[in-house]
Amino acid sequence: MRPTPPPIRAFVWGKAMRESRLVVAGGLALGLLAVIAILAPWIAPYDPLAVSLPEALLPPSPAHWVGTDPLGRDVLARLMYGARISLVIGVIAVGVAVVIGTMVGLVAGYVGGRVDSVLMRVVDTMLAFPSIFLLLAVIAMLSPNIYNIMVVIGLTSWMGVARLVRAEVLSLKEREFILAARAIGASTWRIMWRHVLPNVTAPVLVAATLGVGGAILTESVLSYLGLGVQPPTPSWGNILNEGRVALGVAWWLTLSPGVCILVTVLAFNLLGEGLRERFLK
Amino acid sequence: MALLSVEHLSVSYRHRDTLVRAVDDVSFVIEAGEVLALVGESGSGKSSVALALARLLPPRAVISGRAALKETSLLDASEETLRAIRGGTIAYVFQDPATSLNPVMTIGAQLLEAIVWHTPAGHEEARRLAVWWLRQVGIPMPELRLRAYPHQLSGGMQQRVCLAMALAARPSLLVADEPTTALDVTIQVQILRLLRDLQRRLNLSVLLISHDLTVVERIAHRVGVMSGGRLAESGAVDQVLHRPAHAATQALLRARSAMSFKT
Repeated sequence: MRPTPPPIRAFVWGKAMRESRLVVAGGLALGLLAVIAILAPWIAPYDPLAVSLPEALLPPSPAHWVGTDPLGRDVLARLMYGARISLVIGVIAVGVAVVIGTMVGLVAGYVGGRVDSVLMRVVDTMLAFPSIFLLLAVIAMLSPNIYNIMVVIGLTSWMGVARLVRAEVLSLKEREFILAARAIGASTWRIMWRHVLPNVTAPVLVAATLGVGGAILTESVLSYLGLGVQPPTPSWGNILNEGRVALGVAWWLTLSPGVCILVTVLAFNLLGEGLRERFLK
Repeated sequence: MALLSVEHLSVSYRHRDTLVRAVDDVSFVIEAGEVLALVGESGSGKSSVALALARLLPPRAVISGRAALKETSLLDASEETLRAIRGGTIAYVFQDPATSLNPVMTIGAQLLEAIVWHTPAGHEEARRLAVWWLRQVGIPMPELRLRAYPHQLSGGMQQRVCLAMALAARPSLLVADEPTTALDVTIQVQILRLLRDLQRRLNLSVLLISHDLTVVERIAHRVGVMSGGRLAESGAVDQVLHRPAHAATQALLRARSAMSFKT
């Protein structure tokens, strides 16, 4: 009698899950965060902007889970609304960076020669600036609203993606299927778009995921310095900033946004690392 | 008049400040419906000849000489003319089908590209043609295969798809650069048989690049032996392989008998 073969599908699925525990952990955390951010107007216990001076600086309690700030606003509600700002800024800033970086890397890598040299020197120059000063300088000139912040973070963080894509393209263009595509009469643009670009999706996706964490951190830094999201609109960075003055008496004001930033950035990094292991090994 | 005529073709590669000559003054013709095999050891320049015809060599290659397909001059054609020629009148099949198909595009998408560019067929018609060509190259259930990715097919099937892609626009010359080298021996026989059948049915002209004399003997009409970038000897297959005049040919023949002795 032949032994029953193991259920292959279940086996493979289980293996994939074990291998990508990081992806699952990061993904779950981010999923939860996204749900909270999207549903904030309906699930927040209070209005994040409602000032109530008699209730100022209350410690965490059943009525205010994460306490209140010096103006008596509910910190949990402010954190929930802050999550919307942080996630949107993170994702869109990285979107801008990925689009610019991919285009630059693709053109530099595929066209090569002088074009490559010029583009890569631009990348080197951009990288030579400490990005935080570049950000501060640009934001100081423009007005610090959410849209400017997203675009400026994107414009100062595309260089890594450009280098990554260029390196991928350099190795891809030596592959035989690119020669084969030329041999059936494909134009240069067509080869770049249809044959090369889809092949760099995996590494770009990984870099983008890791980049979102970085962008959220950058936004927090800017808001903390007062050049990011402007009060009274809550963002994790400016909640942290407002809590700074009451650090001695109200630990929950600085700890809670700090934990939110930590968990979110960590979740994006776990997800990114997990994806890297899954796709790029 | 010959379908393809190549006169005094030379190819050199720029290396640092010097030129390294890979192909040296090679001339040959291919008649309509004829299979010419170029054989030779690795590095003898046979692949450079093949790629030079549609100017597929890397930018550091310097080509001189003349090559003409019917009346169209190839080596000084504009990029636009070349794009129409590539895949349209000269089609290529490469050595390793596993790497010459794009891993992230379906078989159908790649096949359709070739058909849509080089024939007046609309999308529906092109799809029908794609299925028809897959059937011609012996792929079972072609409608389903259109949606398959290259990694879902075996090496032999992949090479059949490559053949279908190459032939789909009805080229007059097929350049097959070591089309069976990367395949298993049993699959090699099948692909060769397919290539020979298609060649006869479509009255194709084929430039076959190979180092395998058994392959050459099976499907070529004439053979050119390359050695050190030069065409050492050429003529009808029977004559060259049975009464080799040049040392390079004799060496290749000896290598074959040594191989068959072992297996």
